[in-house]
Amino acid sequence: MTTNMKLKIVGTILFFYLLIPFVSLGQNSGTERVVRGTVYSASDGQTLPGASVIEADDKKRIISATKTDINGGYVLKIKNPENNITFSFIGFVTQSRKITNQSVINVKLVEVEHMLSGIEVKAERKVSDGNFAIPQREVSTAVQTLNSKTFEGIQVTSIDEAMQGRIAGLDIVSNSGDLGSGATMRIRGTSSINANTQPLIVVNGIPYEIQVDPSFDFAAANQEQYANMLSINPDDIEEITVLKDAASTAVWGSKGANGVLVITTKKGAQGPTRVQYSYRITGAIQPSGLNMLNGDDYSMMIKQAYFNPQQDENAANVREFMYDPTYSEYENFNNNINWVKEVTQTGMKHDHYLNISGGGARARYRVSGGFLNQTGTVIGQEMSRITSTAYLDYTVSDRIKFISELSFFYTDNDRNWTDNNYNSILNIAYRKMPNVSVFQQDLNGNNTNVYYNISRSSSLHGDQRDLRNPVALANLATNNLKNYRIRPNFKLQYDLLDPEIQTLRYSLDVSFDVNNDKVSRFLPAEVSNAPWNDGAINLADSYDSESLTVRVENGLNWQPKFNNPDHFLLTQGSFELITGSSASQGMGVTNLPSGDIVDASSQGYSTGISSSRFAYRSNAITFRAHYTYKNRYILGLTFRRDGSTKFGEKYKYGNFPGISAKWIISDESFMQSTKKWLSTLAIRPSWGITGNQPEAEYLHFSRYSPYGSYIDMPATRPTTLQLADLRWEKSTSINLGFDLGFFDDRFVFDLNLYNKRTEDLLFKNLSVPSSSGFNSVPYQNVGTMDNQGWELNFFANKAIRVKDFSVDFNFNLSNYVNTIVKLRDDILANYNADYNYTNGTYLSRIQEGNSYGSIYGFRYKGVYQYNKYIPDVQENAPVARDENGYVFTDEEGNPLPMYFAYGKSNEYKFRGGDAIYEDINHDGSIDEVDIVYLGNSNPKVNGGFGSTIRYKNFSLTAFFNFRYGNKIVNVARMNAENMYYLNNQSISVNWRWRKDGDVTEMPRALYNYGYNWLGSDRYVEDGSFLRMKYLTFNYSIPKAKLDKYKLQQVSFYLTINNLWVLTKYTGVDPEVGYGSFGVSTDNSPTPRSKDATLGVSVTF
Amino acid sequence: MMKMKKLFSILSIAGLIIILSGCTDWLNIKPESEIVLDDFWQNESQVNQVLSACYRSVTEGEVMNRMLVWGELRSDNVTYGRSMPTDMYKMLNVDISADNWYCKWGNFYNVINNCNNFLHFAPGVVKLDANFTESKLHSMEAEVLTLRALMYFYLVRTFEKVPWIDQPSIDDAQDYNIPQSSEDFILDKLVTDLQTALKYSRDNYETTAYTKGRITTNAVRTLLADIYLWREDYSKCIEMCNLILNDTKSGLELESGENVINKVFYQGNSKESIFELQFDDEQMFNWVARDFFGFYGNPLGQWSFPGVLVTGKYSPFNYLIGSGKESTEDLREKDFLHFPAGGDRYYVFKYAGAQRQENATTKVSTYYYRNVTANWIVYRLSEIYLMKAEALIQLSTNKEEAVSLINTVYMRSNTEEGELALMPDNYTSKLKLDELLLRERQRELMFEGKRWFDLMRLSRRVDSPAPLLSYVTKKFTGGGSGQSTKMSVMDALYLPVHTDELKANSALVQNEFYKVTGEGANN
Repeated sequence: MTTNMKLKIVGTILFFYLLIPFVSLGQNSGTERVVRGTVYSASDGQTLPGASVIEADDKKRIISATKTDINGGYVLKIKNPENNITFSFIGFVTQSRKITNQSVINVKLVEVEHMLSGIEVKAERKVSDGNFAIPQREVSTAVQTLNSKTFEGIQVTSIDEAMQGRIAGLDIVSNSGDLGSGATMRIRGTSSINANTQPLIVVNGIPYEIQVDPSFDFAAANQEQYANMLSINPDDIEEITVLKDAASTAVWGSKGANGVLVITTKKGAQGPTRVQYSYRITGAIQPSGLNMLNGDDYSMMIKQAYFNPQQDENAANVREFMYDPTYSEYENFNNNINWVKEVTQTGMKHDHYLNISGGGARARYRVSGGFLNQTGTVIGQEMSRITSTAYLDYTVSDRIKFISELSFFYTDNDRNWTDNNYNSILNIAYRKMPNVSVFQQDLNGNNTNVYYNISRSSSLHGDQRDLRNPVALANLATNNLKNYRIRPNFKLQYDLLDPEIQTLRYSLDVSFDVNNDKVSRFLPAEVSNAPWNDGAINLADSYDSESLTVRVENGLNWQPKFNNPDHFLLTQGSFELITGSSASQGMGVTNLPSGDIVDASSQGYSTGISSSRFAYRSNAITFRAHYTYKNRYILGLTFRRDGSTKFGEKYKYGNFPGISAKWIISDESFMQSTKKWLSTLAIRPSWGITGNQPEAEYLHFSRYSPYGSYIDMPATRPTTLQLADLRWEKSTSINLGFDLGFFDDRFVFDLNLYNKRTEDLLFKNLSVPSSSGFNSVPYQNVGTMDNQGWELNFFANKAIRVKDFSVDFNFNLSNYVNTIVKLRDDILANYNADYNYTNGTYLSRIQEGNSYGSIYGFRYKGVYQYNKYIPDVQENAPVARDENGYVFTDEEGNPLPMYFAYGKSNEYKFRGGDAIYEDINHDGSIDEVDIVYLGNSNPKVNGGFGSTIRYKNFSLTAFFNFRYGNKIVNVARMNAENMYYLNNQSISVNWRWRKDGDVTEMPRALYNYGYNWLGSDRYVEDGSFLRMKYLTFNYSIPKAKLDKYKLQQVSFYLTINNLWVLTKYTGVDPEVGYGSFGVSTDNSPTPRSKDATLGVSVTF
Repeated sequence: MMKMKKLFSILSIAGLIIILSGCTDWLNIKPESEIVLDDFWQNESQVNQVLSACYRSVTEGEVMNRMLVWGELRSDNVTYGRSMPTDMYKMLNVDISADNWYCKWGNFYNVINNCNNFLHFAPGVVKLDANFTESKLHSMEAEVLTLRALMYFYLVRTFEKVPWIDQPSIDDAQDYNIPQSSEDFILDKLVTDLQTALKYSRDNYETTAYTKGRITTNAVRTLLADIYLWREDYSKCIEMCNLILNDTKSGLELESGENVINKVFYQGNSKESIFELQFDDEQMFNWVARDFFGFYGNPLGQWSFPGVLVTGKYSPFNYLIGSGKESTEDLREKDFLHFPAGGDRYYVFKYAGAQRQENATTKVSTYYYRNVTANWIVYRLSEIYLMKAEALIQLSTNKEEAVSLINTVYMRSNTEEGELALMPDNYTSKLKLDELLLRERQRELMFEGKRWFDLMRLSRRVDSPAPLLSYVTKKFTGGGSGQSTKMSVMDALYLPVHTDELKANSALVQNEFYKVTGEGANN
């Protein structure tokens, strides 16, 4: 960010702060004189220190104010004797009187009598889609609200964790258990092939986005992508509303196609100042994954793997596995190391949260601060986070209101070092040879303090020889992310007409979003066997990015008063402008002399400097109307016209209309008879169009960028192809909703059926012939996709209620099917690659009319028991058979062997101990025609349910979430069972085929040979699960006991997260996100931890 | 109250201004750190920058490593060193499939596209910038045409048929599904382009780095000579070589034999260099030479020299001929290769080394490696002598001159007292001369990305892989019979079109040899 830009922000912020005194001290006309007096309590005649004394005009605007002193006395300079003077004190009834020409005004305030107890207030809940609040019963679109009370007391670092499984149609999958790794969220499934699929997040009416340059190429730049939500402290959230259908998201126009999450944060409340403090401590452990071989079993397996391909003892004579004491490295290769255990630990989390809130009739405020410190379940991970918010609203007069919100967020995240070629610490730990030691060992087998790396002169394959020491990597390499984000927001409301007569409200909303990221990494030489001046180690790099967004919205709300009370109309028009800019720099240096110099600005060999800057702007006109007739016929209309710098002249603007209606049948007179039990019956049809944008800017230009230099001549080259025809991705959706309520809405059902069609699908990074000089085009609009589905929600509030005992229950269920309707031929041709005949790969296919996420591969039928076929004796041997199982023979009656890829360069004859694949067409060769459909990664149904049981001051909440009927490719297991590389394997390979006649499901070990792990149903598993997501006990100390300590509330809770998972899936965690082509592939990321939290919350 | 109204009106006016300003220019912003095409190609400076980019893109690792891999990996000069990437290892063992990473040609076309942009847009700048004269334009065009020709020449030698593209790629509406053109079609184009370039090219530049690092008239001539040699147009090749050898103004001169390793390959921009890509240690590293050949602290790179070929009858050194031996005390044997004590492989010292010091009494050499990056030589003077000799041999007109040219190169590295020049009487048959020339090229140009193409020329002359195989199979343990079956036809000597390319471009046709056909076993 340039200083210029910084100055602008600071200037603007200052300007708005200056407005406050400017507003309140506005009026200077009239003569100034002084009024004095004393404020007493009417009941006991005591003086009241600290009572407020205010001079206000006829619009109730504050002109001047003071507080009474220790003796209850006050002196107030007044501006106008025509004004009123008002006395107020907490717990007393406010008094107001005309000043006239009195110079001494003494008052006696009367205490408030608590008359309210016993009266049940039936407040109407309102639902807001950001700026436009309408009563919940009149909502005609598909939205669902989650109040923060539902996740009170649960320990979560980020709200996406809290929402998991709570909202029908919202699928949230954590990316991994690494600290701050974020989650993948999808509302109503994927509506895009590979463009952005994350929903839009709106916080207090303002889109919550960070624009980063997606083309910015830096090793670690993409990790923060989804961690966005981390910067909102769950403790600050009041409620979350999820907008699902297009009629509701159309107001967010070109960004609404993936659904919208509207987050409202807590505001100040009228009343005495309250201080709330809470502390939570959490311990987390990592669920055990695959059990890996120990060193002895591993060495045995590897020796067989070397022997088997050539059936040659010499091939198996590898020093590192011989346990020969004369070998110089003997002590370093005779161990039994559990690498996974070496890199995991119990993670601890401390979370402090403090908030202060309060306010009077004129002003309300809330200030909060949170501090969190967390260590990961993998060693070397630690994160600290500070969050802070300040909310202030100030009612200048009955018609003018000013609101200011400020949030600040800072995080310091020490992560594990990773790059593109080497996987996570945990991944390395699973692969690393278990017979090799963590530390260099001396002649007696004692550990020294030097991390051991296999020598680079070793004859072992580079995969294992050059595999880094994961313990050294976690402890010595650094990968730190520092992020801060500041979001000031100022609002001004002004009623142009007297609100008593008619509402015509102008509002101005100015908000800023400043975000800064800094990543600095260092990889020391100690983690690998490379020499110090190898380019890959002693490598420091850093990456900075800064972005600023300014948004200004001018709005006008109009709510006319009709003489006929049957009509009700609410309209809103607004004009929004967004402008922003972002800048990123990255640089790297290698060949640094030692681990002491770890900064990327040091002297060394530069691995490259990159930078990117971009700016963007958009504008939008929005119109909204909500009309109700007789409280039971409801019509909602929205229209938004969006303009964006992302598109060229032809497609700069897009129109996004939405229409919705609701008929509350249960309110009809003919339904009176059933009203007793059927409290709500309503039907809600809706229709709308929303859009999706590409992530990058300037795509519609052909651009030239700087390109270093040659000799001393600076270079510039054409870097992009102009996207001549790029336009919005457009989703049209129809939603049919039903609301059902029974017994005074104690039991509520809400059902939605929808159909969403996305046209002009954006496809990212399309290949182009590289003879063009380019490898890919960033985006093109290529086809059409359909999403159909349904969602069901059920709530039972106090379903059972007996005296002090009550039970709440909630349940949700949803499902969708997506289908590719049309896709450009060249994309189908390009992505539907020919089968590549290699182990471990599945055929990925996109087909018109088929759903996304389909998995294709071979059928695995076990292991050939014998090498040689002898009829009726050794039947299970690799021979070709016809449909009826009869063995094919040649002219001489010899059985024909079974081949892989017969007639191709990689032809292979199966042997005993090899995997059996089903020869679908019975031609004696396993090849691409034997590939069949194996399932789909989209769940048949997913959802969640939970219950809260309360008894007096105890409550118990349990929540479960589940998925059913999805398939996962368990690549982690594939890698741990293939016995093809030198990687460590899971203990299941101890059951491998070793000699003729062995009956097993596990093929023989073959080092770099054979086809025992082709993409087959052997690794495709059912990913269905039922997870007990959390269980929370909560106890509040009865209020009566607290009064003497001047405490408002004290509560304790215990939460256990992720207590158990019921699943047939053999991997660590069945909750796996969607990878390319929508297929779920489990590459064993850090699994979600099991954790327990103890918390206490105190309010003064 | 008055104030309040005033404030409100200020705010609404401010709002209104923003609204009004939004209508026209609000949504038209251009990149800050990049320039859009419409604003580019306005002045000479920008033309210079794209010219620089044309060179810069040749120095990209992806281009550099292919120049080496394509030109040398499969030849008898290279075997496994250490940590060789899988796809390179596969190619080394002639286990080549169409998904091999080294079959990707995209980065060569990136250079070509930069050149095409230059050739398309630069002429327009003459009208816009008075300083940018026609003659400046033409001399730059000569450089760009030559660079583009060099890229195509690599592609044609490696793939035989490739798409010919001479228009810039500007937007995604263009049709990029361009089919391959024949070798002759492309080479005809290159010859025409280079002849145009010869008319306008500069003889030298202001600084040595420019003269060696940019295309000069002699660089154009060298490339033309190389192309003629490939096309078996020998008299034209000789014509070009003569122009270079007789060019007295150029200052081209062979360095002395002892200085070759240090001056030519370590310091760079030597007197004998005709065109070498410029690298440095601040911004432009030659990672490829470092990775392939090694460096200080890591002297064994990904490549090493096949030990079986260092001694014995296949060795280019100590070669038995007639009653005597060739290259018995050849400096190049010690300077370009390094057999470390206790080692098991011959390391590459050319490019990896800084200098060699020989103990006068023990005759044991100490090898000092470099930790900086090297320039990369595309053409140098000694090759001109050998090109001309090769052409003469093929024409069979003047064998004595051919041997004498070879001697010029040979003698500077065989400086020990008593070393004899190569005697024409020992090389009477054309076969013997062919072999001599190839040996000398191998001794002189090893690891410079030439050997495979040298052997290809040999095989192309007889349209059979046999002569090439007689050289390359020697390095494989077990005689390389398995490898030679995978090089049994001429098509197999060219690389396949990468699968990604076939997928992206429907107009491409795979090399016959690499087409996959599969049938069931029992059908």
